[in-house]
Amino acid sequence: MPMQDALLSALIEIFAWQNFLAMVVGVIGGIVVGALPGLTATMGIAILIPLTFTMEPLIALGMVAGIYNGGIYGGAIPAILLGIPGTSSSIPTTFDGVPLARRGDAENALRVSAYSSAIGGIASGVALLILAPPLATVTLLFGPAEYFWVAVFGMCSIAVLLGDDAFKGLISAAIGLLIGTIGIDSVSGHERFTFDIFYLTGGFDFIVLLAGLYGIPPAITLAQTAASSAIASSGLSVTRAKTRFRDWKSLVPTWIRSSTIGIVVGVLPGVGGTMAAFLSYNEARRADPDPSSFGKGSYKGLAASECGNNADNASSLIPTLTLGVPGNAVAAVIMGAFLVQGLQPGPAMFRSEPVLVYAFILQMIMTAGMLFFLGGMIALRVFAPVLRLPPALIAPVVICLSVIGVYTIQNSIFDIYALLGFGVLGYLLQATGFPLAPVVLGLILGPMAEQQLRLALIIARGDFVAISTSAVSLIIISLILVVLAIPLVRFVRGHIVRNRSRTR
Amino acid sequence: MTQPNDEATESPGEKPGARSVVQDRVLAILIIVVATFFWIESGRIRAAEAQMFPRMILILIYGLAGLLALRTLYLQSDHRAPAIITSYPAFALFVLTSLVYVSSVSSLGFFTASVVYMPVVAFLLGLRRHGLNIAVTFIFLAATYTVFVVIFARPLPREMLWGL
Repeated sequence: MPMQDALLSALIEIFAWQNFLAMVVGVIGGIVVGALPGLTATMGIAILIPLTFTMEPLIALGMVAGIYNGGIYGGAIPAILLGIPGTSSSIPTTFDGVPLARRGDAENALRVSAYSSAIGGIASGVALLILAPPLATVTLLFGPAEYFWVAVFGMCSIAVLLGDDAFKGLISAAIGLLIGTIGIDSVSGHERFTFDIFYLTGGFDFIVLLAGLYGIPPAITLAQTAASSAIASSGLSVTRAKTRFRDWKSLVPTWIRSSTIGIVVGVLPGVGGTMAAFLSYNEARRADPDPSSFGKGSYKGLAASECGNNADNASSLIPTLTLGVPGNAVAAVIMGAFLVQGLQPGPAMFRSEPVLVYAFILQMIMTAGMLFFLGGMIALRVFAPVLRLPPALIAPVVICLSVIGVYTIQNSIFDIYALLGFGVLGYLLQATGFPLAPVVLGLILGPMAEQQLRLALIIARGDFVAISTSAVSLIIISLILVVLAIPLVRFVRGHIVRNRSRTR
Repeated sequence: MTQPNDEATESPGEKPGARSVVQDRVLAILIIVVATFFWIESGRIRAAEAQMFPRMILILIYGLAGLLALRTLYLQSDHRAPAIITSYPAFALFVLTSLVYVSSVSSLGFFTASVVYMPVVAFLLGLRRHGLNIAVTFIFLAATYTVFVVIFARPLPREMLWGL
């Protein structure tokens, strides 16, 4: 089906009332989850995926798109009102959001943040629409060997670039890969690491792992901070602004700059929205004729941060949709939402399900646009009671929601125990400096990597060298080596700096 | 965003970064022990082609854990690791009550178990606003009942109290 026809069909489908409702519910749910400090958009999608299990794919993906865009924006609400970023990508939002709220301009700050988020999200969605189809065409040239190396590249880049410690990142990815091998081998039919436990023969459902790793650790952390929680609700009383912010024209260059930064950062694997927000903020300050106003309540600073972190949203899905390799944690979770619907993200999906792919891209754009109406003061007025909930209540709510969500996947009590087990494992991994995203990525990409490796080895008659000799494989292997060299370069540079400071 | 507390106490005379180094060393040993357990278990996989990929992963884990351990011998971390558990009573209370809750879901049913678990845990964690506690519990359970049972008709464990 030609792209134009698929796009037109997708446009018609997303305006069906069920899809529209799913997007609205997703955005609202995402704002609530993103606004609650301690909970993230990734976690929101992870624990709400089971809910989409019985839905039509388009409705389910519309809800996921809404949660993603709403969740990233939602982080701005407590960042502005309480100085507590709801998500890590909202940290720069506090720099100017808090001073604005303190001087009585919280309403304007919320409106600027909502509009900036919407513009960043729309720009990112348009970039996804323009860049993904041609990239998917290129990746159709890949064979099993190339796919294996792409999977290795995806895991290495996330493992190395996401956290501070490359070793721990790579170990996390290996843990995910190992968990992925549990169960019956799909090719030979032999059991692997089942320990004669019947429930393990089917392996672990990745949603159980997702909900466990992303749902339970924040709940445990909230429980520990509950007694001495600083997340107070007193700062949530917002009066109407005396003067309405109208100088939107002055924000246009900031929006253009921050959208571009967010899109570029989003495409790069393992970088993420936090980096996009910080880079956008810094560039806005550098380009401003009065940089000293930043950090003291500058609307441009606020707009840069919020536009930057939302401009990363859809573009970070480009590697997921074109290669089937997620570029960050939330993309890995969204890939999970596709897999739940029996869809395998990758270039083949553009041929087999073109309407669905384009519909999802359009849903990303539409849900970003919904922030114009559902963000700002409306969000605050509607969600204020939720924001006032104490952590002691949020923690058991998260556990109950995870339990019911996971149970309904295959009506298995064993899955609930596994959920709790993965939750405690996730908490301990996180607390000891192991990033969680590579674990999820390892579980998702592991079976694909193994299948492609075995296929490539059959084609190459068992010759390991032969699977790395094609031009595309060599390029990808070079990229893997570059990614793996990054921590070494960081270490050597740090060593030189330390030596210099000692000699002085 | 709530993060594990990094204001951990330091023993007198303890070098900065000491805990991070020790923690990493212990973790590396633990990972090697677990990997060895899996390596032995992988010997039970009868087909060589099914055994290949798990063993490749385990070799990778051995290598990385070895490097992690080796690093602790040569490097002195210039930052201290945050405490793994910031409040042992709260951690133990929450994990244990959650374990009891999970165990009781199959016998009591989801809603019966949740109607006890949610307010009790919130109370034990220090919440003394009983009206809010009970209201949130019932609103949450009503919402989940509507979504999972009424709208999506998902089968749930049989309820002991209400026979749902």
